[in-house]
Amino acid sequence: MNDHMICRCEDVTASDVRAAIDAGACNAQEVKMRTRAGMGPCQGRVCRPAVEAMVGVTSEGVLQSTSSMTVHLPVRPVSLQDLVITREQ
Amino acid sequence: MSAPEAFDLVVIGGGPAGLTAARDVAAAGGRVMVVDENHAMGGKLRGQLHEDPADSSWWKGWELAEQAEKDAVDAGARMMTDVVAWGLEPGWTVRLTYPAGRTGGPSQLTTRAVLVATGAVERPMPVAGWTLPGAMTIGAAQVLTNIHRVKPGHRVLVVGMDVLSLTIARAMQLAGVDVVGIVLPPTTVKGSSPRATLGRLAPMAKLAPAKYMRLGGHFLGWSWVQALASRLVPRTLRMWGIPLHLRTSLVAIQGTDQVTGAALVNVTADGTPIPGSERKVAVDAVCLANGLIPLNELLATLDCSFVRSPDLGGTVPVHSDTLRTQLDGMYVAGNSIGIESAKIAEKQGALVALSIIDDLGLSSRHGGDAAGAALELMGARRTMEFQFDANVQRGHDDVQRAWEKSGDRA
Repeated sequence: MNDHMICRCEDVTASDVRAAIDAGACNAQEVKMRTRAGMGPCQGRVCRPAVEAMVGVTSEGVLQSTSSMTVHLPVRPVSLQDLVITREQ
Repeated sequence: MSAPEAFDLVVIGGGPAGLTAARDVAAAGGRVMVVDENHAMGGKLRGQLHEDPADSSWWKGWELAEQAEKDAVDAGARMMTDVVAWGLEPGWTVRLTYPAGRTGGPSQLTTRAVLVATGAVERPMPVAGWTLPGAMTIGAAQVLTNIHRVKPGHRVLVVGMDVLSLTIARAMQLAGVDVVGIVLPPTTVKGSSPRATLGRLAPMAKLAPAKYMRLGGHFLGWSWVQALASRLVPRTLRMWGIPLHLRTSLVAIQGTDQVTGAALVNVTADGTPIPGSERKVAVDAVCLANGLIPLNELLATLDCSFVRSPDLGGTVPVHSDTLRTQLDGMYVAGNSIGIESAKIAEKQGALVALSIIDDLGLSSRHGGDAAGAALELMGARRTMEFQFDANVQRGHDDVQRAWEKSGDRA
C-alpha cells in the first residue's frame, strides 16, 4: 500500500527499494545495483538520502567517501560539446 | 582556442562564503574567478527574507547578495553564472559545462587553488504524491516566492517544522499566500515525532534573556515559549496566525494531475498514528521541509576523507579549523561543511581567504591572522540568534579531531 516514487530519474518506487532490501541489499550502493536507483541524470543527488534512509546508514567515524552509493565524474550532466572542446585544447 | 588562462583561485559557488573569500583574495592581489550554476550570484542568500531576531530589522537576502557580489567585483574578482563545475583534477583543473547553452565560456579553468563552496541541497521527503505538480520542497517555495515573486499556490500546506520552514511559511504569508498550516512529516521520516520536533526547536529557548524575549515576542509567540517550558506537546500553536499542528502528520499528498489536497492523521507525542483521526485538507500546493544536506559531490571524487555528522547535516570533508582540506590547494567554506546561517558562511569565507592568501604567498592589506579568525568564528557561532542544529559546534569539533588524527598519520 501507499507506494511512492524514490528515484524519479529511473522510475524506482519505494516498494522496488524495499524488495531489494528484503532480497539482501545491505547499503545504498547495493540497492542501486539491484534497482538502478541513483543511476539517472541526477546521479543520485535527490534519491541518495532517500535510499539511505530506507536501507539505513551504519558507517561511522572517518570515511573514504560521502556515501556507499558511489559518486562518479562527471558529477553533473555534461554536454558533448564541452567534452569535445576539452579534447581539442 | 588559446591556452587556458591561469587563476590563483577558482571559487565554486557564489554564495556568502564564496563571494566573501573571492573579495578578500582578490583584494590581496589574487586572480580570482567565481563560478555559479544559477542565473545570479548569492546562492541561498538571494531567497532569504525574514525579520532579524537580533535587532528586528528586515534581513533582505537579495540586497546583501548584490552587495557581496559588487564588493568582490570591485576588489577585482571575476564572475561567471549559468556554469556548472562537473569535475576537479589535481593540479588544479576545474571542468565546466553550460546547461543553458554555451555563451563563449571556457570548458576548463586552471588554478593554483580551489575553494569548494557548493552549499547544501534539500533532503527529500518521499511520500505518496510528492511527484505531483504542486508538491515541492520548501526551498523551491522560497525561490518562487522571494526570487521569482510567484505564489507557490493559493492554499498551501507546509510539512516539517524547522527554522527554515517557519521562516519560509512566513515569507509566503507576507506574499499573500493562504498558508493553511504546518504539519509534521510522515511518521516514517526519522525524527519526525512531536517530541523529537519540539526537542530540536527547544534550544531556541536557551538564548540570553533579552534575545529570548525578542524571539518570544516577535518570532515564536508567547504560547510557543510556554510550550517549550512545560515539556507538554500542545495540539496546535499559532505563529503569525499560521497554525502549527504539532500532533498531526502528513499521510499522503492527493491529486491526479496536480495537488488537490493532503491526507493527515493525528499522532501521539511519540509519533504513533491515532486510528480514526484521519482527515483531509484541500490545498493546491504542499511544501516539504526535511532539512538540508551539505553538497560534496566534487570532493567525493577526489582522494580525501569525510566525517559523517548529524550535527552538521550530513557527510563533510575532513578539514582544519582554518578551512584547509587534506589536499594541497583545496579549501572549503560555507554550508558544504555544515548547515549554518549566511552570517556564519560569510565569516567562513573571510577565514578561508586568510588561509589561501597565506598559502599562495599573496600580500594581505589587512594582515589577517587565520588562527585568530578561527577562534572568532567559534565565538560568533555561540552568539547566533538561532542555529539549524544546536550541536553544530560539536560537529565541527568532531571534524577537527579527525583532521588532527589524519595529520598524525601523514
